[in-house]
Amino acid sequence: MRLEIPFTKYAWHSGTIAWLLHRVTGGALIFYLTLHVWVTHHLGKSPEEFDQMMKLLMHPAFRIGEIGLLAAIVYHSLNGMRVLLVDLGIGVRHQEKMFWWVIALSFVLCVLGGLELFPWYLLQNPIFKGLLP
Amino acid sequence: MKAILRVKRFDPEKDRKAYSQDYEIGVQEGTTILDGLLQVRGEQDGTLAFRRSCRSAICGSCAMMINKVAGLACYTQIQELRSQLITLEPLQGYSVIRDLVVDMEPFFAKLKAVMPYMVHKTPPSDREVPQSQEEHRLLAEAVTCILCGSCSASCPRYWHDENYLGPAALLKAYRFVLDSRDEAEEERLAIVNDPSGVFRCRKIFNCVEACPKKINPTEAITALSRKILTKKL
Ligand code: HEM
Ligand code: SF4
Ligand code: FES
Repeated sequence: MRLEIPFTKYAWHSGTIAWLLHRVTGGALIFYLTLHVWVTHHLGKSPEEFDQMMKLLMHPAFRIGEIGLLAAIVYHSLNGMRVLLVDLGIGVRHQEKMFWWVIALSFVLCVLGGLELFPWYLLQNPIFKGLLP
Repeated sequence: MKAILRVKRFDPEKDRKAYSQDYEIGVQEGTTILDGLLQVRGEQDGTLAFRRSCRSAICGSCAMMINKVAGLACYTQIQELRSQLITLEPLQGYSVIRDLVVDMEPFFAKLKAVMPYMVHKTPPSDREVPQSQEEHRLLAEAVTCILCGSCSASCPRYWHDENYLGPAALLKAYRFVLDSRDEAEEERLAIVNDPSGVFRCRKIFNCVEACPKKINPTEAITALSRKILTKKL
């Protein structure tokens, strides 16, 4: 694959996309870990703060954000394994095929996990009336 | 058939900024980018600067950015690009001297840094040093490198880290480390096991896509990393 993206100086091959996604998801995971420590810190403070924090985490933005977290973890670990295999000298000449496997597997796992994690109750909200069967 | 070459031009004596200039050229089956450039220089604009020598993909002097990918002008046929508008720019990651001509000095300095020559410590025999077919097979791909610099020019790490040795120099180190006749493995591994060496590679594989000789520098880089790590264990 080879994409010429406007305003970039070099064409993107599948390896470029794999690397950019790896870096972005790696950064996102660092952000998540920091957030996680912050949350855990507040959970342990007092029963009131526990309840308040739990309420915040139940907010749809967090529930949907969790699906994003799943996507980041799944892609980063699968592509991390692709990079490790290459480092071990396994399949260096098949890295592009391995990238597409990473994408396909990530997609399947995210759909399966996403169906589990999605806050379906949101669809009971009046604004979705008529959209549901 | 016609095609447009959109060439990035810069003359430090006249221009304050680089600009693009379009040239229309005639294209037949087999016409290469280099043929197009020679056509332009011969018939339209004698001031256009670019490097070339062998025009048969062996001297390594005509590397440039062709439609945003580094490659050889003499080895890229216009029809295979499937576009009527072709952008030609100087190699990325090198400083521009004029138009498509870049300063290759830093590239060759990095090559020299990995000791790109055979080292003999034991007294030389008065005969040739033999090598078996299996021993040669390990080098067969790496020795075809023509030092065009396309791989290093394709590497984001190389653009952003002026100290990074880059795929071409690391491939050369690998070529000698794997050579059964060479006796400086330790020294060379120490050189590439440096903050600017093999462990800077981020496995982006642009070098593999760019190399006109279909060499796989990433394979060489990871093989060197494994040699360094297994030696330490
Ligand atoms: C299953 C778990 C994980 C695996 C297999 C994995 C694997 C890898 C590998 C192999 C690399 C090197 C990529 C390269 O050389 O280009 C890498 C880079 C990175 N990882 Fe992970 N990782 C994992 C979990 C994490 C976590 C939890 C975080 C965040 C806290 C993280 C953050 C990063 C970052 C920021 C980079 C640097 C990206 C870059 O240099 O482009 N990783 N990971
Ligand atoms: S490895 Fe390929 S791209 Fe790199 S310098 Fe050698 S011939 Fe050119
Ligand atoms: S002119 Fe020699 S490699 Fe292109």
